[in-house]
Amino acid sequence: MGLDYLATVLLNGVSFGVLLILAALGLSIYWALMDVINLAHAAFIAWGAYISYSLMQICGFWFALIVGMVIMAGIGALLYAGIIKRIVGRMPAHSILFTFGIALVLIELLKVFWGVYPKSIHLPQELASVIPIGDFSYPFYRLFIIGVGLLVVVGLWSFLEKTNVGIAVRAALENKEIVAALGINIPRLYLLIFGIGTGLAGLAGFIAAPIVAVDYEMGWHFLLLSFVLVVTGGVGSLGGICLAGIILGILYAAVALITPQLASAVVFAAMFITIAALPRGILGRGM
Amino acid sequence: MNALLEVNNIDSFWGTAQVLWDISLEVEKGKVVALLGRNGAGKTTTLRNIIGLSKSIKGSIKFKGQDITRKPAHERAKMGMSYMPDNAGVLHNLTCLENLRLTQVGFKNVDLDLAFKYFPSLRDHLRKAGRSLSGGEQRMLGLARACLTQPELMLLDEPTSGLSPGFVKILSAMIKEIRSETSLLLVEENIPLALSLSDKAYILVEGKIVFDGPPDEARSVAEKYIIV
Amino acid sequence: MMDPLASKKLPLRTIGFWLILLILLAFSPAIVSLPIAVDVLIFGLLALSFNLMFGYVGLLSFGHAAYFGLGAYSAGLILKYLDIPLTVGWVVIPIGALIAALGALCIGAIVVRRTIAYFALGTLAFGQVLYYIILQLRDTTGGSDGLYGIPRPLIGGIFSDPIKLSSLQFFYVIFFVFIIAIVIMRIILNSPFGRSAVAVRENEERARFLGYNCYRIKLTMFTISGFFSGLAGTLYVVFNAYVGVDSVTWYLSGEIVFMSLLGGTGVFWGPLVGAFVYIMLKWWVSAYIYHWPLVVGALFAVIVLWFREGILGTTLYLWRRRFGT
Repeated sequence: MGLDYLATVLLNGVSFGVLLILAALGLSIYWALMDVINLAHAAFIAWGAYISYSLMQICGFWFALIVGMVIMAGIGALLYAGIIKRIVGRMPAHSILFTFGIALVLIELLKVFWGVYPKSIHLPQELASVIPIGDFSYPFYRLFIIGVGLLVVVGLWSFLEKTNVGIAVRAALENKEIVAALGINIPRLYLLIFGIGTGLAGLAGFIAAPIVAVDYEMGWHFLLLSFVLVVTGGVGSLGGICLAGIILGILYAAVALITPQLASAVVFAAMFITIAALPRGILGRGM
Repeated sequence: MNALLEVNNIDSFWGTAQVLWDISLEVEKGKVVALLGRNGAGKTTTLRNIIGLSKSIKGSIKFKGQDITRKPAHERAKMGMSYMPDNAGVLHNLTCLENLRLTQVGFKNVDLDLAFKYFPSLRDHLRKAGRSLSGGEQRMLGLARACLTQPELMLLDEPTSGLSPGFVKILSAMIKEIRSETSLLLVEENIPLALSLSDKAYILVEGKIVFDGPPDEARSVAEKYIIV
Repeated sequence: MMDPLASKKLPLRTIGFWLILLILLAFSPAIVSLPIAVDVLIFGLLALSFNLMFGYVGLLSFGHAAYFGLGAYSAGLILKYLDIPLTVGWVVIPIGALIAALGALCIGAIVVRRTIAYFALGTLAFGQVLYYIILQLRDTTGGSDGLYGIPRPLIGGIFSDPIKLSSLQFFYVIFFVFIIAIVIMRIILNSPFGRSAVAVRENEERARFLGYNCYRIKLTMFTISGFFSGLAGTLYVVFNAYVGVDSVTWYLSGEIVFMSLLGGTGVFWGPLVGAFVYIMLKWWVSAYIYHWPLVVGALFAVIVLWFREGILGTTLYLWRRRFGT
């Protein structure tokens, strides 16, 4: 097995891991900050993919990317203000079940608007090239995914560490009462966070669309994997989720060489093991 | 003349247990008011009701003439109130500087230098995480943060509890300096200190106000109900 | 939240209610169709067993289909591949249930200690692992096609030739097993153990201070719940002569939760009522509304938000308010 082959497998793993990270970030945000386990996240990811499908028929890839994210964030904000905020503050079991119902509705709406058949999204010209790695031609798009992931993680980290609003978010993670007593509007913070989470979900769906099967199962598939990342990485731990994503992505890619079924089983087994042994996630910084 | 803060006949609960019965109190502009009582008498709950972190059942709360009973905490803060809980409320995951910068999210034109004016030693701890500050340093940070928004009313919950006499001195000095612009409602276990600083005192026993008057009269009443 | 364990003696009204319910169930193949009646019994049993965990102990298992699947696949594999005489084929029913219980015991031993969210996700994770393993072992389990051609057990064979049962007769066999299962469940719930489970749900800390071993209580109930879920699975396989991976999906787990909530998790019979309504909904609504999950999803959300007592629960509550207990 040549080094170049190994490199392609590694890159497959990392790019898959990055997709999972992008998908999992939003989930972690709602959970850590608002104590809401939001299963509708599945719908947001799927919607991101479908919206990109439609937008790409009208305009170019880049434009569709930006507009798609903004639309998703907008939908998320509306949903939050109208529906989701009713479940904030309730028991986790309730948020799981409530958002499950919302997810069912939203995903069914995909069928209503876009029909039942899977969609195929074509790569835009600029990104469809291949890079030679040893004897192999590696798709540039996967490297693009890794790039986007890096950008997003760095952006999120900067937001949380450097901006005042980001400081407020981190403060609210610890003690909402003090934050409120300092004149900060917590519901509005939640709205912002929810919008960010939804936008990220849309981005994840959009970026994933050209290389995964875009059908209405896609959202659930990603959601389950997002849960794996959030649990193994630790809820609310950006570093943990990134680390877990890379490791699990590579693990998946490696096992998938033998069989994809087993790869999925391994990933979920990892989640189970983390719940059993490391409830605070890999880095121990989860909640 | 309307008082700055008027609390009228509020009840409050902690879970299902009633903690406050028919509480009324007033803080006038430019005055320091002490709220005294034993542990569990309801002092913290009273402050939390005023800032809006605990719910007031029946009755009303007025601030600067406006009814704030239904207003959420952040709106009350923006009207000119600040609150420091009994553990200083310093956020452990944030640095000292970030704790101060939090005020800039809710309020415009916050000048961080004001914090260093009263507590210059804070400058040495700016990059330290909240959790690595000592108790006294956390209190200083909490107080500094409460002053930064230049509130008209400060609610302080046991600011000197468990701290050194040196710190007590700093606090007294600070209070004396800001009292012309900022009124204070002070919950204190240190009764002689509280009475020395305040213009008026309330004594709370098991959720009810049993005394309301000038500090010198308060002393003897306090001795009856609380260990001074 | 009503306490279904309220009285130890059975007042006449309760006996009457049970009788009516059982008579209705016994004649259900005539009222609704046979396939629906069988589904109601099987999935009703599944939902009832789920509710042992959720309604009585307060643990949300989001992977309960796994135990249904364990029972179903165990029974199916034994019947199909082991050459046992079909007249004793009935033995797969308790065996499948026991295998499922064993699975629940192993999984529960690990996840029961965790908080609600992690418990739910842990059970979900196991369900997924099982799903993918079943897919993987395509040669044995039939993979995504499922396990076909499972022979149905036969009656008799000692004094005469073994008889094949008609579907209707099979329904009554299932009904019989269902009744036994229900009676056992009630006995368990009315026992001191059952009451201790409720105590744990109400206030775990207090229960612990009172000397209850909460871990063991939760684990025991999980195992019992796994047993009855597996039992439902074996009944499914034995009737349908088929089992597929959609018996192990998270979607089925979600449906189980929904059925319980729909009927009411605070009442013993709630999940059965919920199963009935859900199955009917699926059959009827899907005939008229192509996108019936819209209805289901919206109902789900509305119930969680406003009607946490479910159909039966709310009905009973209103009944008691109007007529007294």
